[in-house]
Amino acid sequence: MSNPNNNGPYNYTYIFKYIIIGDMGVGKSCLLHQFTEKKFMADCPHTIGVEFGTRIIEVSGQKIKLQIWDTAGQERFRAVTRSYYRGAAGALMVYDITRRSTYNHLSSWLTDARSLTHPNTVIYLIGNKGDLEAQRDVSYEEAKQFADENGLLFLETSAKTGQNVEEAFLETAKKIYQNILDGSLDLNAAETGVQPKQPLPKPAQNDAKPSDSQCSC
Amino acid sequence: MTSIMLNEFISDEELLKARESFNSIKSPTETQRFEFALNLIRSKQRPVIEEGLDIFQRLFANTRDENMKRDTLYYMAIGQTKLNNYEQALKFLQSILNVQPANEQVRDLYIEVNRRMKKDGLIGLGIVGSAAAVGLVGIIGLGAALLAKK
Repeated sequence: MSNPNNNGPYNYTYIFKYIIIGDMGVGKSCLLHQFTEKKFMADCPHTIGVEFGTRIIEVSGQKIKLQIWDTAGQERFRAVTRSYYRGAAGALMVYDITRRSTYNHLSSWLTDARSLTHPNTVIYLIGNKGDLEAQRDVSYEEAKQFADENGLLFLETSAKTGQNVEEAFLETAKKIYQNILDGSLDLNAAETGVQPKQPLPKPAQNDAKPSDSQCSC
Repeated sequence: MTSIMLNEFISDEELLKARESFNSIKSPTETQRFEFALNLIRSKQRPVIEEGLDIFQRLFANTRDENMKRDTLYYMAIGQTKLNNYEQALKFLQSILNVQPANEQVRDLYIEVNRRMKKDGLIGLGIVGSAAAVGLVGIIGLGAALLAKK
């Protein structure tokens, strides 16, 4: 019962925080819904501010809880949603393959993601609505090149059919996990977006912590 | 889950910065007013939340953007909940649900507000509006009146 290594659904080793960003109407909430509920949500209303979803996955035999923040794409929420970037281990940056404008805005989303997250945050580029091949407005090759130039992982998905949705979320987690194993992600550092369920042994702290009232963060 | 906004507060410093930058704009756009009001209702202080609600109210009345209308209703519900005006909050949420019955985000918040209302044991008091204005005697009196009705 108290064995921490049993395989119950509520046991996990880490929590990874993700954010999903991108223009309005590219299918961010539908991707999240497809991933957490394995269903396509038709006529999905625009997200207000931020939404949240979780799912426990397995990477190399380790159970990991994904805590996913889905942000509203509308301009008026930009200021609010920016405050959720902090401490994300993974960022899914989504555009719509049938609307070039959503692809053209990627550099602005990427700037936000890079400046507001940890340097080790895994950024995954996702071209959604892959089922609408006939209306395609951005080629796979072009987006792949953009991803390569910017050091991003890349996949085309369809929240409607479910194609590649699992892969995008899981591969992000694999990459994060790999960063933990090879030491490039230091779990003792602040705001990595990775939280071990069992607290890590704390390094000796000699310096007195400033009181909360002095902290402007 | 949707209660993130209910449990997260803006720091005085952040609020001051938001206020200064908003005041420096000559004729703010709808988006800028919306963003400012959003910061105001993140406050812990009643008058600041009320100020935010006031801006949302005017945005709601004047905008032609249906999404903007919906979003202002949602945040007015959050603000009213923070002021313990649960009945009013539920009314705002219900008016969104009338148009978007399947909106899970709004449904979740509706459930959360209902839960808080019951937890606080203040069912019915929201009608009074500003519950703080009602003295203890008034509360007891209204409670008795409500019981008598049943």
